[in-house]
Order: sequence, then C-alpha cells, then structure tokens
Amino acid sequence: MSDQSAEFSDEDFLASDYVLGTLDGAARLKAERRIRRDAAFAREVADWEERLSPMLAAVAPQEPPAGVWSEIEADLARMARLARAPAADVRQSVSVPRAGRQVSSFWQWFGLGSFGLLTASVLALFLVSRPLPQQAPLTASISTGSGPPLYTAVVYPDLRSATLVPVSVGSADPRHSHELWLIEAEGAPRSLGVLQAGGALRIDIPAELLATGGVLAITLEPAGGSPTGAPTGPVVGKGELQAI
Amino acid sequence: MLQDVYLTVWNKAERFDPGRASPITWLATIARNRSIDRRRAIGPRAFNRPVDEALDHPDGAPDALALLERHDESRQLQDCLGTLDERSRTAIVAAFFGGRTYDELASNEQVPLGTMKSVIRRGLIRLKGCLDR
Repeated sequence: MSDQSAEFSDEDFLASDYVLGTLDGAARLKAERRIRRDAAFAREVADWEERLSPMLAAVAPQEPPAGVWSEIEADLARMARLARAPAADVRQSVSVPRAGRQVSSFWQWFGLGSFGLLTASVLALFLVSRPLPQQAPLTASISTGSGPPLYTAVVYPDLRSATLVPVSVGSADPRHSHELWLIEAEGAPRSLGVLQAGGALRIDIPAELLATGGVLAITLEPAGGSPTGAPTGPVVGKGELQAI
Repeated sequence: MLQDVYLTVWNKAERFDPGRASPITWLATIARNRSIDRRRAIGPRAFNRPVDEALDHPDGAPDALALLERHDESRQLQDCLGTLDERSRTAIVAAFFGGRTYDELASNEQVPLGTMKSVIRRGLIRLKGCLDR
C-alpha cells in the first residue's frame, strides 16, 4: 500500500497541504518561505485558503481571559501614535487623489490601520468581551468616499460605546475640531461628540441612538465643536454602520 | 497566543483582500495558521491531549460538519464536501480542524503514510474541481 505515495508528489500539493495543515514543521517553514518569495505559489495558497476557510465558520467562539481588551486598546493607541508621525494634515488627506505617492502611502496606512484595527476589534469582540455582547457590534469605515478612511469605528450597542481608531487622520489642527455625528434615516444629525486627537477613542453613545443604526459622519468644526449643535462645517468623512 | 495572533494580524493587514474573505474569516485563518505553527514548534505530543479535549469528538469531524450546515458562507463547501467519498471527507475535515500532520493522521487511522496522503489528496482534487466550477 505504501507505493501509493508515488501517486502524488509532495511538491504539487505543497499549497493545499499547507492550507489544510498537514505539513510537518520543516515542510511548513519551507512553504512559508516560498509564500514570501514566489507570488504564484502565494496565490495558490490564497486560493486554497479561500476554498477551505468556510470551514472556520464552524468554530465556536471562545471566551478569553478578562483584561485582554484593555491591553489591546493600549497597544492600538501606541501603534496609532507611531503610525501617525509621517501622515499628512487632515485636509490634505481629504483631497487625496492628486499626489500618487501620497495616495499609496495612505492606502498603506489604511491597510495597516483600518483592517488591522478592525480585525483587532473584531478579535477582541469575538474572543475577549466579558460579558459577551448580546447584540452584534456594528462597524463603519469613515472615509471621504474616494479617499482612504479617516477612522474605523466599531460600535457596541450593548456597551453603549464606540471605539474609533484613527487610520489616516493627519496631525491635529488647533483651529478646528473633528465632530462625530450619527445620521439616522430620519431626523437631524445627532452629535456624538468632538474627537480628541490621539490614539484610539472610546466614545459613549446614548442607547436610544443605536436603535436603528445609521451613518457616522465627521465634520470639520470650529475648535471645541459646532457652536450650534448642528453640523456647520464640511463633511470630511462618513460611513454607514454595518453589522460585522 | 492571542497577542501573537493580533500582532500577526497587524503585520499582515495590508494583505487583507475584502473581495476574498470576510474580516472574521481572514482573522480566523491567521489564528489557525499561528496555532498550527505553535503546535509544530512544540511538537505533537505536547498538544495531543489539549487538542483532543478541545474537540468534542476525537477528530472533530462530525460536529464540525454538522455546524457547517448552519452557515451560508460555507454552503458551497459543504455541498462539495458532500460529493466526496466518506473516507476523504472525514480525513480532510479532521486534518483541517485537528492541525495534524500526515504522519499523525496515518498513525491514528493505522494506515500507511502514502495511503493517508492519497486519500486526502484525491479528495482535495475533487473538492477543487467542485468548488472552482
């Protein structure tokens, strides 16, 4: 029976075996090195991940130790501070498309920031929350539409709070503030508060505002926030709240 | 481990392609890969008990298959798994959830290594043909 090993070559099945997880340590390392070097092989691996990953839907969420969320949040703030250093002014980032180099670096931040943080938040929710939220969290990518997102927001209806993680927000402009609004299907925009410059932001949201979801928008307002209670400045980014 | 997964997520975030996978699937893929790396680094014996205890079933397969039915995202995969012969299907699901090497799978089933490879790889070829249609 052992002659059946000749039926297929290990080499031809390296990608699928890697994804399936049947390689031993040495072969696995070899495959991981090849993923980095060989784009065609990396694509093959990605294709297999796409084929098999639906199985992961069968994995039940586990409750992790308490306190991990706050550690991750602290890490996020630290990393966001580091990431912000080379980023440009907010208004530049709003009118992105002209400078190609800038765009690509913004997209890089977008990638690093938005999804890293989004998934970190998802990870935290999926694995960390104690008690586990009864209601599914909502996320929004607050962007200019054509440009990169400014913030990634994760709203926790149960906890009546949202976490906003800056992605491509530039250095603070002391003359203006960013104000966050919730726009529901009906009614005037409701202010959720002025965004402080810094790392990840935790924002309290009144429970009644979360009943219907809606759109999160950020406007540029005079320092300290809108003087009228309604948006007065240009919208610098918005994004619809969506279930994860 | 969680922190490790998180850092991997962070470092690979720019490679996330929303057209290919949902964030949660992508995240779970990374978590799974890191878990396998760790299992390989520590060695099979150290993990045998916890892995077995973590799964209701010794190889995790039947429960995992039952759970798949509840998820739309996995409907096509489930349908295609259904077209495989039972031996291949069980081996593939057990391999995927158990994080076991061909060697371990073969000795669990008490078959030669080559046989285990053939059973799984034949199944993978059929699965690919079915899913890519």
